[in-house]
Amino acid sequence: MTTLQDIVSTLKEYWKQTGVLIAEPYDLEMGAGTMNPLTFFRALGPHPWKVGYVQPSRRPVDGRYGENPNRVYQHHQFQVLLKPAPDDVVELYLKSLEALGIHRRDHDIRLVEDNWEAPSIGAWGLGWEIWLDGMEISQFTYFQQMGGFECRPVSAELTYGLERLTSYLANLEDIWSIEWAPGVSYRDLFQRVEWEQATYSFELADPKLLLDLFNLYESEAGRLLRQGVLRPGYEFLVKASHVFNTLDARGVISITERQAYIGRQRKLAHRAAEVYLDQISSSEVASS
Amino acid sequence: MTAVRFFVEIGVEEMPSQYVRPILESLTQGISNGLIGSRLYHEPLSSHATPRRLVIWGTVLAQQTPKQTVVKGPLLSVAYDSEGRQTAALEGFCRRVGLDPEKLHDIEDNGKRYLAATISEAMHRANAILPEVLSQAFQALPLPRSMRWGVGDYRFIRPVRWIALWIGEELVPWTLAGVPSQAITYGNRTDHPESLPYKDPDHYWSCLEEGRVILPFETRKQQIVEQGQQLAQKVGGHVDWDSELLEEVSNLVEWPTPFLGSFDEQYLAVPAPVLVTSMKVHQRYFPVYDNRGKLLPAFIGVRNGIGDRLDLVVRGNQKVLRARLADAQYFFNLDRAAPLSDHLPALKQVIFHAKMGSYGEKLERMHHVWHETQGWWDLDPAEAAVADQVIDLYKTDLLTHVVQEFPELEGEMGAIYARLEGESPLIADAIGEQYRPKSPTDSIPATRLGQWLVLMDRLDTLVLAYAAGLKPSGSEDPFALRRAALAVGRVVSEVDASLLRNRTVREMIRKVAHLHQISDSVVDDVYELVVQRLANYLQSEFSSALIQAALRAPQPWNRLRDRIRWMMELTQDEAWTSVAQAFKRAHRVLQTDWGEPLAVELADLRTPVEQNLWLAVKDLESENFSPEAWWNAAKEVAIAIHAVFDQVLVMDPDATVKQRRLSLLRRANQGLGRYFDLSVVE
Repeated sequence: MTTLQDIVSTLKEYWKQTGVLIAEPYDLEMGAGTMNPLTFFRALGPHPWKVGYVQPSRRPVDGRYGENPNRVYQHHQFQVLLKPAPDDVVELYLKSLEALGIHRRDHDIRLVEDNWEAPSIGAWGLGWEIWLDGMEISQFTYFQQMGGFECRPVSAELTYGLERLTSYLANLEDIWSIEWAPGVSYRDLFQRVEWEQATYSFELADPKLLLDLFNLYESEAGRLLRQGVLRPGYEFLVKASHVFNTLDARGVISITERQAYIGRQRKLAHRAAEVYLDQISSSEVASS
Repeated sequence: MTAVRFFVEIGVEEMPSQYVRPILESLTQGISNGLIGSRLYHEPLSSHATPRRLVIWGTVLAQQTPKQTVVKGPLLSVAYDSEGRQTAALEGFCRRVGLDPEKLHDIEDNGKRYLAATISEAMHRANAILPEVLSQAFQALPLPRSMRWGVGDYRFIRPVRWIALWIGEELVPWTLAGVPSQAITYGNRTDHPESLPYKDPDHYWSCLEEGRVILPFETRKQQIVEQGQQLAQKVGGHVDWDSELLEEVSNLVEWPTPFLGSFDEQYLAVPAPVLVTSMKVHQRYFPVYDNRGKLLPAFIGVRNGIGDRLDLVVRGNQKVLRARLADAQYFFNLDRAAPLSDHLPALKQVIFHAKMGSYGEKLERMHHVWHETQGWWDLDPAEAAVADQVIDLYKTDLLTHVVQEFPELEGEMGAIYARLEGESPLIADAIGEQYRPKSPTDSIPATRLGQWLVLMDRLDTLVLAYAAGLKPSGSEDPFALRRAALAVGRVVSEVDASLLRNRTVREMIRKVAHLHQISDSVVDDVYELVVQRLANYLQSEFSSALIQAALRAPQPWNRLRDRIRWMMELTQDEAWTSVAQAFKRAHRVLQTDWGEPLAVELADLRTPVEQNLWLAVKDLESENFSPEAWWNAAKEVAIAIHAVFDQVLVMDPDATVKQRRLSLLRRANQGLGRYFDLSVVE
């Protein structure tokens, strides 16, 4: 049976062969692989860059106590960033599916319009959802803006939903029956954890504590970014973002407040992007 | 003039299906305009598109048509000095146009004589001009949302990957969005992803066949319908070819291969609209029905290209649909565990609009308006008895799981749940019809209570929105107030019998505003919006003068179309002009500031022509007229009005005489304007 770890190693091997740097997940809680600094920052500025990594993605609102066959608090993305996006990027992607044994003549692979947007980090792009026989397995985005700055050149971000791909290839109805490794199921690894995370996010999370944390993280991020200490400042933004996502799941953020909270995160993301762009332009001046 | 063939292909990554057609149409139009502007236009162009290519061809003139421009120079009087020598002004002009003075001629403009130069513009060959015409048309395309890609700074809806421009048999150098013109194309992604070189435009078409691309949209569509229908017959069914979905799917693929899939019969326990939405909206499948219109556990999907393993494609799609339907079934069963009315308290927490409060507050306002206006509505007792229940229940489905998963089923789900809970069909039908008319082609609710609910709901929205300063302006109408206003206009004008007994829409709007302590200026604005949207809607059928005349008359709007058609007939009557003129004659003098009307009796009137008018008006004022009898009386009144104007001085020096005459004319015009406001008619 196809295991999740097989898929990860196949994807890593395939992209490594095309010259992509294979990195490790970032060690902070985050909602999407786009927030990993290897994508968030490297999508900015003029320098070519190719990276691929697995990133666990936490979405507290999607938690279902481990009861839903497909929705979970945390899933895993394999993410590739190609900068600039090569002209044959769609073919490169389709060939990566072939490396997984998904051949275009045997399956219906479709590019369906998707306009991607992440307002909390000031990012948007155009691209597609990739459908495999009617199921969304990937997102394919040409980044237009990151942190509120234009992306020049434009990178392509390819995101593979690992649980979905595995359950499809293993012909399983739900992600719990997936094997991560032979003899170790997704259920063994995560079902109890999913129940705990959902119980925490929906019931036990202390709104007062989280609101305090959000404010503290936000001001610390702002303070550090003002002093030009980029990475620690950005990390506090990533922490604030996760705390916000938990507050959102806890149901204590009203619709009107929501906009304001997202705006506060976007401001920090913009500041971080600005500091990064300053850094790379001054290092170029220094080295020239 | 000789013409040459040209052929263009622009290859792109998958464009969003809904923009394929508009982009092709704008591009073709833009190129035609460019050809006209550059004097190369010969005849209409042909064009086709798939999600991955825009192809345009036709013939253009081989060379630009001649064109001469006359450039005006200095006044003849200042071109030469008194001794006939050339002045600096003349020399400057000659330098500018590059001609010697003897090549100039003189022209007259506004009675003055000038020197002028006639310049013949260069006549370039199509090869030299066409690339620029195409590039400009491409750059001028209106795009909903464009993007950049790679290292360039070009913009389009998705990246441009290959292009070709041929004039005659020759591949012409041209670069678009950084991509050079080359004699290659590509097949569909499934069957022929590699490049296909071709020799000339004739050869292109056979390459497309080899690459399994069907260029014409109509042919792709036809292939889906024909093959899909055959597949459905295998399970004894027929397909619901939803035209929007069919258009979308035909523009999602370059070579459609329809396939038949099935799902477990147990899911048929879920109401059909839920299953159908899941299939159509989430998966772009076409549902299959039996001969009695009952949903079958089958669907038609469409794959891109031919490929090898249709069995795997079918299996995969069935698996995906199964997961979707299992979700739908789970949500449906969850919803059925509690009655709709259980959601009522929670509607207080659901925001209707930040400036208009919650749904809970909206329902309270509607209960209040209903209680204060019960006598206004032409509802039968059974309908009136459940009105409060309808208000309580009609928004509760917003909180059901199925509607949260499938927002397009709001209203419809409420009706389904209400029926399953054993509520009266009156209630269920009204809930189910609350969003009608959804589009200009959709009909208004069929039931009386449904019509009442639409009016109650939209009037609340409109009055509250205007009070909160949320007017639509220009292309901005985020809260769809124009659509709400049209719903009010359409319901009131398309019902057979007036829904509001003796009240007008304006009175109803005023009542709603007063009950919520909202100022009168809102009443006029909302009323005008309703009139404007309804008039706009009817414009495709009638002239705007007729529409305005009917809408502005003091009549309820029910059967409005009939009234407008009747007016159209009357305008063909030989007496029409006389009636319209009589009204206008009286209308003009009545526009003056002449004070309060008097009650006029026959005995007050001195002349036979006035007495005649009085008698004719009395007839016209009769309440029990048929429209035909009214028209006959109107014709008599018109004759009498003309006689008054012709034989007496309306503006008599005696103030009382004048006041009586004007008062009588006023009554005459009220009678003439009973069904149509004749002041707006030409």
